[in-house]
Amino acid sequence: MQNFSKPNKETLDLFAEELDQIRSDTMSKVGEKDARYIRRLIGIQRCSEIFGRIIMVLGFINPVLWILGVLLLALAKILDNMEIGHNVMHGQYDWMNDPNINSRNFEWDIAGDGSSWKRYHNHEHHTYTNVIGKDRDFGYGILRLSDDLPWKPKNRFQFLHYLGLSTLFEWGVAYHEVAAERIFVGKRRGSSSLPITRKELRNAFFSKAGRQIFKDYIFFPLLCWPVALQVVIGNLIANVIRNFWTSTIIFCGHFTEDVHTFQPSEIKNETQGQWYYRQILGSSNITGKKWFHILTGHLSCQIEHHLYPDVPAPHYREMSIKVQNVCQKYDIPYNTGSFGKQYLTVVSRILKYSNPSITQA
Amino acid sequence: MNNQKSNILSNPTVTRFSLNIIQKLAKTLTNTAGFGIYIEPIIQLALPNWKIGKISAKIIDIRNESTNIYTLVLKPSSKWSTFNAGQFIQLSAEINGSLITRTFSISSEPAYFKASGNIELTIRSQEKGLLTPWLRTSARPGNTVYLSQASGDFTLKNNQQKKLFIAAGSGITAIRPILKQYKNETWFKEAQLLFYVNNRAECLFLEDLNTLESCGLTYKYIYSEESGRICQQHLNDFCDDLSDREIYLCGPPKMIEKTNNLLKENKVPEANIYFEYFGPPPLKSINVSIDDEFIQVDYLSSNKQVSFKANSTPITLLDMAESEGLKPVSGCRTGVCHQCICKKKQGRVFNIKTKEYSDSGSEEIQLCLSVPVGHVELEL
Repeated sequence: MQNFSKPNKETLDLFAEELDQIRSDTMSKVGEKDARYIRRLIGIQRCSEIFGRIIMVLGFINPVLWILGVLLLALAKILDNMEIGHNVMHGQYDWMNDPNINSRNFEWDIAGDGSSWKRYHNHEHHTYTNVIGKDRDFGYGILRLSDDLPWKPKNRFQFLHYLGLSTLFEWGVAYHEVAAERIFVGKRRGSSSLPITRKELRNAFFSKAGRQIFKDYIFFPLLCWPVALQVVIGNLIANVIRNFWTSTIIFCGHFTEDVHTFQPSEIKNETQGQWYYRQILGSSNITGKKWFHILTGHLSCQIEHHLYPDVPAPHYREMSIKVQNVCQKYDIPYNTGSFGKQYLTVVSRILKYSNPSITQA
Repeated sequence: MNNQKSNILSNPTVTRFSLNIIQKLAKTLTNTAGFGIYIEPIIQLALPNWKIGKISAKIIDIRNESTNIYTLVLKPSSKWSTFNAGQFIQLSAEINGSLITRTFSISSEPAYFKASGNIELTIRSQEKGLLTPWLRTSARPGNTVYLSQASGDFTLKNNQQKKLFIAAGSGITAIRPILKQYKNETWFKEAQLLFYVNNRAECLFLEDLNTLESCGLTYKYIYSEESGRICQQHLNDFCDDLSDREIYLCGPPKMIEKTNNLLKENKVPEANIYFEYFGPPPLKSINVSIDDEFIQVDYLSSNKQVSFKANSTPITLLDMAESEGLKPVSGCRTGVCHQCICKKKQGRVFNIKTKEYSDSGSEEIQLCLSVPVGHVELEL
């Protein structure tokens, strides 16, 4: 990891002022263009889903159609989960006052219940980003990604665990809060801030997961009965493509080589500036073209997303230039790079920590 | 019993059941509350102004009435049915990407709608308002806005008795259509209108009232900057048979309250008084009896809590949530549009419109009308 010294509180206060300025400059531009953008994107995503499901069925005429259908459905799921669902559920479009494009009502095409995700993601992950023991998104309780966690023999195989997690990523997202609350297995935590009852959480988990399974693996296959198998397999592959894509992008946002971790003691009485500083050190960006940013739901601008989680995401691209300039001015590391480079460092990080660290060995 | 034969499709239980199934299916297949909501953005790719379940209306003309009052002439789409003189609608417009809804009385009469297909809204441009200044300065003929169907029971009750109308400011907008619609009825020959405006420059609808005068209406403008607000003397000078008349009041809540009291002193039976508030009843005048010394509101979905001392002025849950930085979907803010409905998990609230206290159980409430009277938990 890079060596650098942490700026003092006063410097970070000035730093925070400049970052706040970027936010208010951007928010003054948010308006009609953003509303048109998100509506159009949702329209395109839904066309992609409908065509994908239809063309997949026509695969019996020509297998190329089946492949095209699967890809369109995967694209629809990726757009729905990333640029639309993730961002809408962060409240980025609540100002539109549209009951259907609203963090409170939006539900996404993924196994996990949106309300459950909003609870732990928006609160736990975005507040305690990369704080060991507080942000369970750091390694998802499965991977050892820093020396903060003691090495265990099972970590030797963690690259395989990583591949498994990526394949089943939507189920990881779905199970996240249920696991934290030890709904099915494990010893219950002494205190819980769960605002609903454990029974409600369990019901919401089964209800959403059940609806998704019914839709992709029972309803649509039965609707196209003679080619049911082709639809089941197509839907499964579309879901897995989406799982790999989201998992890969998210790993590039938090688990690249230079991403930092923090101890709970470091965040006591944290100021706004110190919080911004931690968000930047705990995240990494990926450079790319506009279409690439859209496919990642602008999580390619993970740093800006963590600084400004409720600013409409298409603005992150422009903000990232300004944020980089401010970081340079204050000599604060800003982790960005091409997709290939960032992903390689993720792989090497997973491999590196599958072995015990030198001090422990 | 000869109507035993009933069509299965017209059976309300069957209809409700099938609607329920369709809704469940939509939730499962599209993760939205209805198939219409799912296809809305697809249709908007071709027709950007199309909205599911909303009635569109075209702006035909924007006409100035005085320095800060203007009339909007609208042509509603064919989905809009019709209205009774005195009713109101909610108008929504998209302002810089954000949908804003407010309630307005229809200031034109049904006969005019029948003849032209248009309706008019006469609107005061609120200095700090969002929608009313925008409609005047930024909207253009040809633009699209959205309407609700007309509602409200401030309509003519009886076609015989003599009537007195009292309007203040833009309160005339609900009374003008009644006067114009019924100008040829017998009672109109003895109809009276007392109209409070700030000053001479704001003598709204002067021409109309002159025309109506020739049909029998007696009217008087009172300039409140010179003669003050409504009082016993104004009433008695203008009308000597108050208790024989049906009385229709429309104006700001304070004017309604005061006039109501004056009429009671004049022995006007309560059943003869009809009124329309513009806006929700004022919170200050409402006596809410509070359960706890400190009131706490928990916003469960946002993981936020507020608590405050109970004897401060009552404040609605909508205002409270907004001052906490939350952005619940909201509309008219007067309890009409039902957009700000939210699930209350528990706790008692006071409804400022119905003046009723809720019980402490779980139910859907309108945030803009609900004042917490104890510890309340909201799914917000």
